[in-house]
Amino acid sequence: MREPPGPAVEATPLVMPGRWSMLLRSLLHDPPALFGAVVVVGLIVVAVLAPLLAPHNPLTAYPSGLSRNGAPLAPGHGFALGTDPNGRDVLSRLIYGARISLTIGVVANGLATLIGLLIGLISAYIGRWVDTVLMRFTDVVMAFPILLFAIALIAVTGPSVTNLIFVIALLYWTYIARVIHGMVLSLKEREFITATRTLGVSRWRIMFRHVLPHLVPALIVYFTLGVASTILIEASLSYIGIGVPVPTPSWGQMISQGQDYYQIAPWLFIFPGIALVLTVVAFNLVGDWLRDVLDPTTPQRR
Amino acid sequence: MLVILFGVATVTFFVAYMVPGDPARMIAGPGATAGTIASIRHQLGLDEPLLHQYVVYMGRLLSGNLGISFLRKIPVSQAILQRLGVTAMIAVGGVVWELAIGIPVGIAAAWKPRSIWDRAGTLFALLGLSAPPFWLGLLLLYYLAFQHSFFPLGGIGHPLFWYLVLPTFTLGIGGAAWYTRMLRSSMLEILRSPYMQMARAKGMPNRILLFRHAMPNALIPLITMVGMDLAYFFGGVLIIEVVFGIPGVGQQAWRAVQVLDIPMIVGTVLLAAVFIVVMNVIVDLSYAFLDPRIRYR
Repeated sequence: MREPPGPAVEATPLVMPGRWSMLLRSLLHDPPALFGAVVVVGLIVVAVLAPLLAPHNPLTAYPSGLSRNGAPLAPGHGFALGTDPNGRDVLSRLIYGARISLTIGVVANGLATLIGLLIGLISAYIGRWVDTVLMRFTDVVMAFPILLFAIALIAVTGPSVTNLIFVIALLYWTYIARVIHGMVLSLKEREFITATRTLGVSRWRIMFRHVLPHLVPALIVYFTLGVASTILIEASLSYIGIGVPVPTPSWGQMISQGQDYYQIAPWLFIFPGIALVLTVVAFNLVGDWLRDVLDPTTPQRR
Repeated sequence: MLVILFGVATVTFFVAYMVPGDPARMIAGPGATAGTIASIRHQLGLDEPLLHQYVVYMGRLLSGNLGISFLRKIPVSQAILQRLGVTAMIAVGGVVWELAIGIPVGIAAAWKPRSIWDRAGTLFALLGLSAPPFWLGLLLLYYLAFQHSFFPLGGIGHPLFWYLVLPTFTLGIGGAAWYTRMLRSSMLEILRSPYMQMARAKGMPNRILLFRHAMPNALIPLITMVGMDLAYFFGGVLIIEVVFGIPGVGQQAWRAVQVLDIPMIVGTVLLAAVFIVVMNVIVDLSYAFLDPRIRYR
């Protein structure tokens, strides 16, 4: 008998319903997360395209930016969101501030996550005295209130964007370290790890080739949530005056400047604040959504 | 705990040691001769080797000596103690607000999931967590103290309580948001548990269900967090004090940073860290005390 005509192998449909479209669908069905994602993407776009989007130079003090008696201008023609006491355009500073805040937040958090990952992974997996020493060290660093200690460190090293990134990273890694430590402790006991150990695979290879991939979902979640925190920390430090040095615009710094004039020029502090809140909310929403999607069993942390 | 305290003191020492600039010159002031500076340096023991300075430092710490402030020329410990009362009041006030807002909203959200209470509560939690305290404080100052004079424009005065409302509220709102979330999720879990279902099946009125059975279990982890919050507020209070112009420990530390008054900065940081470590231990112990199900060690 002749075989009915047809493909010998089952045909793959043109559009594969794979993981990505599932993710997208989950995002589209979750309004808060969608809002957060849109804002985050928008922020990244603004940060990258800042020179194209900003109507004015954020650092230039325009003589036309001040009223006749030298007061900052309210939002209006020429300067969409008003000017600051130096005559600089608030909108442009807001846009460039997005670039600064986002960069510092992401880089500092990335560094912190890296440090935390390494310390948590190594201490939990190798165990014994290495674990004790590293975890005690983590406890010591955690004992310092972040803001106060950051102030002390920056007083020592001097205010600059690079120092800021390092200081934030050096204080923020402890949270990730603790979480990773807990996760690795439980992963260590799983059968597949015991199996690789029995096969004679070296400790380091096990750690990075076998344990690490299981940490990635949690890392993604905590990284996203962490960016929200590091952006807030940077804003707080800039507000106090030891963050991003003038005249480079930073939202926290703009709010601090706005404080001196809040009675006559409230737009100076209102807009950067809204930007901050939007950003932090967005990252939190995306982080929560990622947590639900990637690993509903991820432990909650402060 | 002792190990951690020791580590904290050591780290603080190294931070103080690494500061650029010459403390002797700072104390001597501008226009001092080289001889004066050298003698001050010798007095302070700054010309001794590192290990020697470290030992002396630790010894001084144990007797409670935190050094002399460059700016104010009085012992750091004394300066901090003078201002501790104000800061403590703000910290406590913040905790009060946290609980006063966080607990009711969290419980309401859990009691009626997916209702308007839940949605509003969750939204409130999200905003409270995301709004930077310094901005929120400024916003409140602007609308409630400046545009409409419900509250004073910052600082401290009489009646004290009135001056503290805005700062403590700003401080507490972040924690309130956090507690709302925590309480909501732990209440939801408890409400689903078998003993709650049993109680409901027995026909217990809602009020007793809520207050006698659900809440105590949900509140225990909260107690420990309150303790830690009290400790960590040392750091957060700085921002609040700067925003509202309150003469507390935080504002003093801030001024110290601006003029590089190292002993003050370092002393404040050290004290804050010690406070946190001690509170941590107290909180752990009280946790075991409050919940008989926990065997401590």
